[in-house]
Amino acid sequence: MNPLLRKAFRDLWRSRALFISIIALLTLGVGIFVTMYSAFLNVKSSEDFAYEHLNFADGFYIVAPPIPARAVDRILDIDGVVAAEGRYVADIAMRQPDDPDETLSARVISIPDEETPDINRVIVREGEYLEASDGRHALVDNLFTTYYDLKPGDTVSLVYQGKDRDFQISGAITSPEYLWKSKGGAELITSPGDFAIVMVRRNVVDDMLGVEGLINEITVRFKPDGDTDAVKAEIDGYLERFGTHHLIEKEEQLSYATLKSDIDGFEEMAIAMPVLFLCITAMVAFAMLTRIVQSQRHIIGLMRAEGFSRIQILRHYLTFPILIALIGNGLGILWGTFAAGGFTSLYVETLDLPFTVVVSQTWVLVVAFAIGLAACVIAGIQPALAAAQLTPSEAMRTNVASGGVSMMLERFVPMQRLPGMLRLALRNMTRGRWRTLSSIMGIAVSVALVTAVMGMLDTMDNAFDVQFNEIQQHDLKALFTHDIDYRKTDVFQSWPQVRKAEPIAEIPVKLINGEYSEHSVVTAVMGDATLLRPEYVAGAQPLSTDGIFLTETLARDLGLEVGDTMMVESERQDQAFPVAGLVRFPMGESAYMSLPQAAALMRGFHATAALITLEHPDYASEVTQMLEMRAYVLSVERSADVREGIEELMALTNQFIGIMTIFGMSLAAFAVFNTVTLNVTERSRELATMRTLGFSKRQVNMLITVESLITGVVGIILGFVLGYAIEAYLVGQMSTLDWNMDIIIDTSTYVIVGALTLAVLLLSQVPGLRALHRRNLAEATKELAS
Amino acid sequence: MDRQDGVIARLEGVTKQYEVGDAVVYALRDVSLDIQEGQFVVLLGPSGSGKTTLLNMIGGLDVPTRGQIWVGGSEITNMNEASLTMYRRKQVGFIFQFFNLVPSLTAGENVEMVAELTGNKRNAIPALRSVGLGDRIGHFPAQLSGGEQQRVAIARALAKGPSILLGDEPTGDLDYETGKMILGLMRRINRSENATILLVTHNVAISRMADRVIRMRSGEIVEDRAVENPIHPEDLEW
Repeated sequence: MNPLLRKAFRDLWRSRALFISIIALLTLGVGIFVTMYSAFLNVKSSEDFAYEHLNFADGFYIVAPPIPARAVDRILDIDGVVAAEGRYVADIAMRQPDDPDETLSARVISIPDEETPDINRVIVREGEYLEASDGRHALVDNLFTTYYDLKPGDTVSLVYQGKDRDFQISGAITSPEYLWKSKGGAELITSPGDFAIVMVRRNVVDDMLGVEGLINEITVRFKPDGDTDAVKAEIDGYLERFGTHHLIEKEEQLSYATLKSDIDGFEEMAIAMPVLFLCITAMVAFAMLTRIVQSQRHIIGLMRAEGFSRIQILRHYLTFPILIALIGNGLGILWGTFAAGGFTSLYVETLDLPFTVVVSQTWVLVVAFAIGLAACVIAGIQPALAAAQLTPSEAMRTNVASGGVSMMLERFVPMQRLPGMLRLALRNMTRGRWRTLSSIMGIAVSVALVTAVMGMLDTMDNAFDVQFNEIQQHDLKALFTHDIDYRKTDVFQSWPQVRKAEPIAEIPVKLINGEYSEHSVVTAVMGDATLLRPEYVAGAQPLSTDGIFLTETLARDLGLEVGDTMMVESERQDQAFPVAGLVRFPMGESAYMSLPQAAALMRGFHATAALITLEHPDYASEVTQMLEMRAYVLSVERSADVREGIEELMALTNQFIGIMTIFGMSLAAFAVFNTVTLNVTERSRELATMRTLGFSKRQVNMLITVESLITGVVGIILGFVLGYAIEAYLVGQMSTLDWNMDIIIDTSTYVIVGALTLAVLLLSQVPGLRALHRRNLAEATKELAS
Repeated sequence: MDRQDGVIARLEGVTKQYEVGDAVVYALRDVSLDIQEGQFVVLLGPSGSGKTTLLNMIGGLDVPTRGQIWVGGSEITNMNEASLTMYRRKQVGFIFQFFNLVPSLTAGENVEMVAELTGNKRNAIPALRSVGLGDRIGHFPAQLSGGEQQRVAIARALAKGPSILLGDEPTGDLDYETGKMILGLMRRINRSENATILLVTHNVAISRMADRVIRMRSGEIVEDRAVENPIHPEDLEW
């Protein structure tokens, strides 16, 4: 082996603790990229395959009032329509499987008696599909059956107009329409136990709901290369004769759009997190390689004196980062490849996707290798160039640090008035400004990562608190079977167990501003309502004036500002409204207005639900039963259950944040350890000289500690600022999922991260200082190159 | 310069100046001298007299502000960076006060690293044997005494087969006996291989073993004399 390569290996071995920690950082960064990006590709392929394989509809036409089923035949005749199917969809109540005294919402979807739908095919995960014309069995969504541990053969009870109708579960299914299970409306997240998808044969729907021969939804698949706009215009023209209708295109379909956003957001995280790790790795490696070159100036001088060319020196000092890259990349790719499978399974399982498609990851490995190598080479190129550019005579001289920065500092800081130790520490830090800067940056980036991921937990906790304690004040929400006169809720107010009851209308609408449009929901309450008050953001205070109040995200997506006028299309009426103000719901997306304003959209003073607060939580069951006795009450939701369900659903996110916190903390510990250890070891000659001059061990320790603390505190403060910015970016990513959260980092998070960092920092000094104090001072003071 | 006159190195009007703020500091001031092939020359002078600067100029480690230097028939003052590198690689051997061995390479590897540069890898072991370290080839610098480390440094310089050997205080970090032993070794190389040696030292006593003594002060040569009867290094006393 070439002696220089041998030297590089032995130099690595001599500083093995530091090199191993840099390799560990790189391994983490590369491994996280391979794991997350491979998982992203697998999940995306699984999702695409599911939509393709299950013939997901290109469009959903919602019609009101219901229209004759034969209308579908006419749509099928339109050139450019490949397939069209009519069905009846209704939300009705279902007995909660583990507590029949309570009800929940079920979406009943009809399927033809004799055929299997070709559009939106379902996958039977357990059990069997329905027999033709089977009136006693139902298909229930797999998330729901899993949540309640229901098996084929178990019974579920649908409640309509006060009558129970039992169905045996024939099979647990997954529908492409509900890969991301959501009830719709203003709620973004639906707990799998709060909402069921139930598919029954057509005769059951006709019999139960009395809608024989009628449909209220048409699913359509267009010819892929056809003129879709012309086809849609023709269908619109045809459906207009029946009443109102609106089209929900594939890309707008709530489940489809949300799942896409979730997976796209994951892709961004799969890039952003490893990039962050690799930046930290590069910074720490840069600091270390710079210091190696500094400590080997005499060797470089000797090599240059002996006739080594600049290129040979450059190549030699690039060997170090390349060796780190080879080892770190190899290990990272190895563990990343293994972890990718597990992570894919976890993600697919959490989303309950029916298929797992594993795609070839070769290019991911190549990219991982390339970015790992790039991070190391970028970190190593400057130190290697510096080594190559050293002139032999300069390299042979003892390195004299510049005093310029110290002198500049002294213009601003009254150094003479500072205690001696602090003065010395500050001068040392400004003398070795690159060393100080790289130490500060290493600490700052590590602190930023931990602060950002722990801050995400604080932000989400805060969003839950705001949503469930400040914005939503109700204990129960009674959903009505249909729009009813809002004054009927006065009855609930008269019950002694009820403290307050307020009507609410949740109206599906299309919000339009010129060429921009969004399918959303208008939430309407009385002007003096207190049980649902969004956060104020801008413009008029919520409901203090007429007009519509939009969330910031809706206003941004529609290109609207306070004072602009927009169109709102409901099933019954189109109406223009001025934008009166901006509001925020941390979880979910909705426009907001007063019930009298919404009357125009509903053609009457109607409510779709009632919000209720109780005199005591113990009254919950009793009041629920009293509500369910009313024929117009579809189901009753308890806020506490909804929150619990959502928290269960967020378990994966929390697990992810937990893993990132552990990674971040390990990273911070490695980075801080490296930085501080180098600070001590590379200055052993200088510190030994201080000891020789009569400084006590305690004084030397104190000097290093003061330097470490100043570096640490500056790094921590910078890290907090950077961490806040990273968290703002992550929260911004989540706003694509209709989360509108305030960026919160609790004081306790700052204290914990700051204290832990300082503790690691101070502990990291110990090995270097102990080694220093064990050394022979005479030897250490004379030592040059070794 | 014509090598046929026996001159291995020639300096003409060599000046090296540094600007420190408004002041100009002269490290060398108009130095001219010839060094004969096979001569053992000792450069004497106090700290800051310019002797190391002079050595660095001849070794191609530094360039003069003014003047010319020829070594082995070639002018090195007009060489570019690449030519200077080749010059140092082929023609000059350095011996330093602090040995400057690469701590992570063994004695054999330290010599081999340099020998390989000149394409004389096989010179490494004989060079080490010639300085009496045939049995220490596999030892790391930390496992060697100061004298042994300096002998490795000499072997490293010899392995290239240089035209001129430059020593900067090579005994400065050694004890009396070891220092004399190193000087003896250098003298032996000088005599047996007709190697030209230029040795910088503070130690006036060492000048008694040289063929020629050049004394410097404030960047100028103040004395340049031949030694009539150089004594053997073993007889040196200081």
